[in-house]
Amino acid sequence: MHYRTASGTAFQIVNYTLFTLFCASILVPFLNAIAISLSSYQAVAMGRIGIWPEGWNFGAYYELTHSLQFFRSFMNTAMLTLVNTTLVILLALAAAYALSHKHLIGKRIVFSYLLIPMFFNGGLIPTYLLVNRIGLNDSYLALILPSICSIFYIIVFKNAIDQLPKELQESAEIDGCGEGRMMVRIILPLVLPMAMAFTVFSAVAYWNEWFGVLLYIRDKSMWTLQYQLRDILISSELVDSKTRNLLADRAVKVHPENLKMAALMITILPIVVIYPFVQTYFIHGQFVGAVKG
Amino acid sequence: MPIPSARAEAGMSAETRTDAHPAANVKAKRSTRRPVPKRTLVSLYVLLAPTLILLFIFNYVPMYGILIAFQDFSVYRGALHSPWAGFKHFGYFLTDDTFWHVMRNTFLLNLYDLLFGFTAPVLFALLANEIRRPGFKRTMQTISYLPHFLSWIVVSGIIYRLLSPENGLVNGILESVFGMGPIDFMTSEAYFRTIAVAADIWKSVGWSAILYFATIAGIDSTLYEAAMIDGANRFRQTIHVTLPALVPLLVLLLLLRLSSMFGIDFERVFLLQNPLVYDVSDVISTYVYRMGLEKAQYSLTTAIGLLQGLLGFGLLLGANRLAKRWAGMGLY
Repeated sequence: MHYRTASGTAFQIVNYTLFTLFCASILVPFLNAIAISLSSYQAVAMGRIGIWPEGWNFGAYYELTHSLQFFRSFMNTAMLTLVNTTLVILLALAAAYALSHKHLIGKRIVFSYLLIPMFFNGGLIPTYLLVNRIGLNDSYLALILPSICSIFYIIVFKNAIDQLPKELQESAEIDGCGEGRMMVRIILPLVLPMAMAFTVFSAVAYWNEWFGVLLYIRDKSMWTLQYQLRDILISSELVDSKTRNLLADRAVKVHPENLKMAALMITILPIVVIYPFVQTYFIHGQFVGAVKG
Repeated sequence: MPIPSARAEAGMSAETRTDAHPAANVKAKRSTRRPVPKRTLVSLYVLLAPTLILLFIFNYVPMYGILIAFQDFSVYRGALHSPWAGFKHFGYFLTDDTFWHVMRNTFLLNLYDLLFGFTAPVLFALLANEIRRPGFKRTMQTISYLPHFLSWIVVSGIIYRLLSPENGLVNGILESVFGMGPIDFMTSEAYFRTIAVAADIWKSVGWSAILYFATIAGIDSTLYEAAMIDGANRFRQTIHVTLPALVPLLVLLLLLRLSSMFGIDFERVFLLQNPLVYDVSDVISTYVYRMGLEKAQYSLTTAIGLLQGLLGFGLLLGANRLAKRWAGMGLY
């Protein structure tokens, strides 16, 4: 459908320009950050770097990849993402399966029990005090336990399981299929696309986790990557004297902005790398979220 | 005990319900490894148990913890033994200037978010719908989703860098193109709200627009053909066909949005603000965080949190009623 009127053409030109500018507003800051992370100390200190690095300098990346503290934060995040994502999906699937079961007695009560926390919560302070009181602060459990129960996922999974043909489960039952096998062999493959979407969502959420660290974690060795990044962004340095000495021996100078932007790039790298592969899943998931309304 | 593998539905549920001790049966069954394990209540509740227990500990117990809003809470005595204080803390913050200041900031930021942040994705979807090159459209959409997946820490780091008065890209452009001196955006109160609203739009507009795209894609194409025969151009088609089709979704999203009018997302404001702009940037959630956790005013901030929750819930109920009356639909 082409409109060859003058106003139509003008609109198209403006429209394409707007979206090109919008895309540039997303891409240019990243290119700028990459350029700064790779530029030499003098170039960063003196001038304005655009989207191309000046006087290559890998010192910031060297310092980060050799820093024990940064490595620990990275590993903590990877571990938490793996554990939390696995648990949140498994728990939600298990609960949804049980809830969609026709023989579950007390279904109504359980459902209300799940729904109430969606509308009411104790708020920041009572939750904080509770986690402290039961002694979870400064432990990984404080970053895992309070957040692995997702009522939203449970409800969406339950609706999906409810919509599967009843005959499927009945025939499997007749063939002697037990609870565990029913879940793994019959239900799971059918809700797998949705489960993958939620896996992507929660993996991103846990990769970005820092608020729990701010609240509950004092021990630096338990920091997550995002919290580490925040520390670098504020303090402009990564106190790791050994690496600093190594860099000094090689006569490499790292500007604070070098370090900040390099840390930022490493933090988002995993997301950017898997981004093209998981796009279909998260778009699928967004539709799932839309349908529930 | 004989276990038939296939039974009539009614008979089965009746049997399960009259089963006095299902636990014992399950154990016996498991140990004898029968090929056809009976579906029982117990195994279903075992699947539910972790969820129910976690919810109890981390969601229901803190609800009980709200009681400390009515106490002079002491960490050493706990919620059970702290002295009662009635509505003292509510009275305190309701007559406190700082609190009303923070309320005003929260309201204003929410208002701007609603005016610009809520309409931006709709406009985005409508304009993107006019793009005729599928390649351009797909690439543009892919790029537009990306910021949604980055944390606010990353986004705030990028924003601080871009707007930095020392070698920031924006100030560089302002100077070379307009010959202006460097502006310190992040520490001046005049820019905070603009930056916070723009940052949110930048981060989420593409992602939020997906819902509108999906709805637009679902519009019956014969409606457009009919409009075209009636002589409607693209603009008129958008006004009379596309927009009305989006109304139900808009109402729903607006409702959800209204219920959070007092609870601006903590991360964005917390990470974009700094002590120099507290006057315009402090919202309820950041105020609660600073007063509660940094100054250990537990009872006071719990009271504020409780009020915030109640107001939000009241707004949701009110908005739902309005939506039912005006648009004939609601959340429930």
